[in-house]
Amino acid sequence: MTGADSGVHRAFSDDEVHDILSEELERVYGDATFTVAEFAADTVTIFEVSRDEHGTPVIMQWQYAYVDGVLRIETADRWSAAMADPERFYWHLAPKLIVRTPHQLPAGLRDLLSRARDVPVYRCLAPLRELLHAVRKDSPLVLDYELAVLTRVPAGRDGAARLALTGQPLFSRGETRGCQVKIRVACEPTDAEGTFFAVVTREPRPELPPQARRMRSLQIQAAAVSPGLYDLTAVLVRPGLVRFEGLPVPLESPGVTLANLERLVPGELAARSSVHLMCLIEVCGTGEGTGGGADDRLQRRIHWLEELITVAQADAAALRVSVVAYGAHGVAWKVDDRAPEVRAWTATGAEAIRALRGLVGHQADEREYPAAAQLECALKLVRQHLAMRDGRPVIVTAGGRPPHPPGLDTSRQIIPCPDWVDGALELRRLLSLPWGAQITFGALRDPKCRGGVWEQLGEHAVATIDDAVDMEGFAAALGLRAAAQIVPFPVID
Amino acid sequence: MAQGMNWTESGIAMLGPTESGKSTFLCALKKALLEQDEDWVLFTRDAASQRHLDEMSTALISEGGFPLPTRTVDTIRWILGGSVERTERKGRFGGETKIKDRVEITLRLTDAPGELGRADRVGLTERNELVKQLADSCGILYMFDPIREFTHGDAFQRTDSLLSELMGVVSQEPGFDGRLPHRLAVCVTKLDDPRVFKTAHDLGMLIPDGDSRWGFPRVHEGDAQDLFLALGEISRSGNGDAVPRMLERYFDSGRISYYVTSAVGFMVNKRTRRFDARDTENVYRTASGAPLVRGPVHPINVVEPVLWIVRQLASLG
Repeated sequence: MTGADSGVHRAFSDDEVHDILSEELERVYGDATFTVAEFAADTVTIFEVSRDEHGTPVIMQWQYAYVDGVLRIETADRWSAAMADPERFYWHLAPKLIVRTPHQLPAGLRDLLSRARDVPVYRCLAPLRELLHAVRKDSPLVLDYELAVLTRVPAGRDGAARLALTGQPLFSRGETRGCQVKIRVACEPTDAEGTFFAVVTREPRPELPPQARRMRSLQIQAAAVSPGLYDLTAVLVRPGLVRFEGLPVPLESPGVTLANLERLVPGELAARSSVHLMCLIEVCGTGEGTGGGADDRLQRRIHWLEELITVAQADAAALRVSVVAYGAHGVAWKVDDRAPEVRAWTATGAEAIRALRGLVGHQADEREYPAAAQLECALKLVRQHLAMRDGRPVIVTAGGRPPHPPGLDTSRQIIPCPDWVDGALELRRLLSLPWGAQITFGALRDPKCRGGVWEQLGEHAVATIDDAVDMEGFAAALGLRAAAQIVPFPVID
Repeated sequence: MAQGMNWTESGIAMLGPTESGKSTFLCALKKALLEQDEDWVLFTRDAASQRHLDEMSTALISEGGFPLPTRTVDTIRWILGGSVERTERKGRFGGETKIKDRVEITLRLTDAPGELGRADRVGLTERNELVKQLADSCGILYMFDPIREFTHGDAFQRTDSLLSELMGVVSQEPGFDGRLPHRLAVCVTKLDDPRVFKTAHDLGMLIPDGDSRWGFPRVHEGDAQDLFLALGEISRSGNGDAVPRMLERYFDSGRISYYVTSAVGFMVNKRTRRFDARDTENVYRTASGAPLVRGPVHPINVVEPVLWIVRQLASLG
């Protein structure tokens, strides 16, 4: 539409301008740009539309004021010279269209507008800035969007198994805002920075296969989430902005680069097979040693085992927990001899914690034998039930008494196990199972208890329940924490 | 023991340090008599003694508890009734016939605190009373606790102190021949304790007891003195081995007999109802420190030393 001031068309042309801008934007690719101008009562605003490396429309603007009808430029900038010279304005700036507001234009602008010649001029109700942002928001993607993920590459001709950074497709070229895609990712144990969710595009090198093209980060967000599988929904809010739904905590923008994160990717994931944590808890105890009575001591054992389960739960990919409670043998005819009891077997952490809490208030018989506990029978029970299919076994014993010996004990004068079970032999049998070498042992023991079978029960981790326990370290020593490995991106199998 | 004293009235005294099992021995006596094939029974003729008999028997057998350490010199008058066999010749050339006489013997059992054996108790009223009771008795049950000897090692010192004082009293009696005139039954206690049991086992002194319904082993009679010697040698003080020599110095060796005993007997396995050599001890301590009996009480060699003294005295007429 040509036009001097008198030739300005139509009433209001917001829709038409929107369409023209959309068409212009579609033609912008690579380093190409286009400009549009808005003439208002006392200003001219120049907009330059381009695309960034991801194809996201970028809108830049310059504003020039008219005072008393005369252009006033205080600082020279990109278009200040063009603004002062109508010829240069239409030759160099070359706006694709001009939008003028309904206001009366100052004399200088009317003069500039009268030379518009082939540049269409439109009257719009909405500011041009709003029209441009609406166009940008509705514009289709010009590059594919992917989520940066890690994937396990099995060992093959080209070397050992490794972890590779790759892209999980999210949105394809041509898709517009509102598109959604569902993906399942695994978040691995990592450091306090959490897992990074990076939306990337690929560098435009058609000569390379897509996966070989370098990834460029469009958006990086992070969240410290518990390890595990997450079903995410990625929503395309607009070009250049993706929202992830399905995480238990909000994502934050950490201000890191993709290159820095790539450097943190480990060669391979630390072995984290499923774990079977067996908690053996002594429910007798008569306050021997320091710090309180039997109930107090039992509560401490329960407390620390709960802590351990909580820590292990936060890390282990597949954690099963068993709880075996054992007391003292009834050594007299008038005292019942109750066998060790399985309170939970291959249960979830929450179920195991409930089973442990059920032990609170356990009433000890005043005729209870105080010098030993059925540790040997508890170990036998564990050996009989244990199966590698339940996960790598981790046996943690919380107690303090020695086991009943398998026979006459002239050195410590401990009354033997009525079933003649040998605790040391049971441990050897456990270790001699085909996968026995994979069993790890931890002891949360009473302060005065040491030596004998407790040395072996605390082979990999030991702590006394009356002290503050570094449970993170305790769990790490048992392989319940993937300590020191940073896995910055989600993993997809 | 005064010359010419009626032996059935003179009584039997008990000697031994604290916690050597003197009171427990008395508690087990009634049950031990019941388990005998012979017809000996224990009864009383006064209320105080009956109360003692009831209390002591009930504590161990029914409640599984043990008597508290004795604080005073208790003299218990229990009557032991039974038969004593004697031999009678028929005419000048006739054969001998054995005759059973029904007898009742008052057991004036003196149970004194073990502490009275300490040298620093010399001259105290209770100590004097104990020495008098010992002097008046015909027989002495001497309790040698090998476990206490292993941990405390005070048997020699305490026994020697008492016996030398007793010797001083008895030596003033007419007809004193340089030795104490008592019949002495030495009781090596706590055979059920694993340490005592294993020592006897390792020395090859245990033999099966064919009469035991529960399969208890026993120490051969001929080995009791040797076990006493062997256990004395591991005394904490190093003087334990002097105790046997000391006893033979004060008493005529012909008047001493040795027994390996356990007032509560061996543990009987609850499942098999049999003795099992892997679990012998029939006593344990609870968290409060109170000793409790684990299973049924089947006393070992509790009645035998008493009856030995009785028969020895009966044979004297």
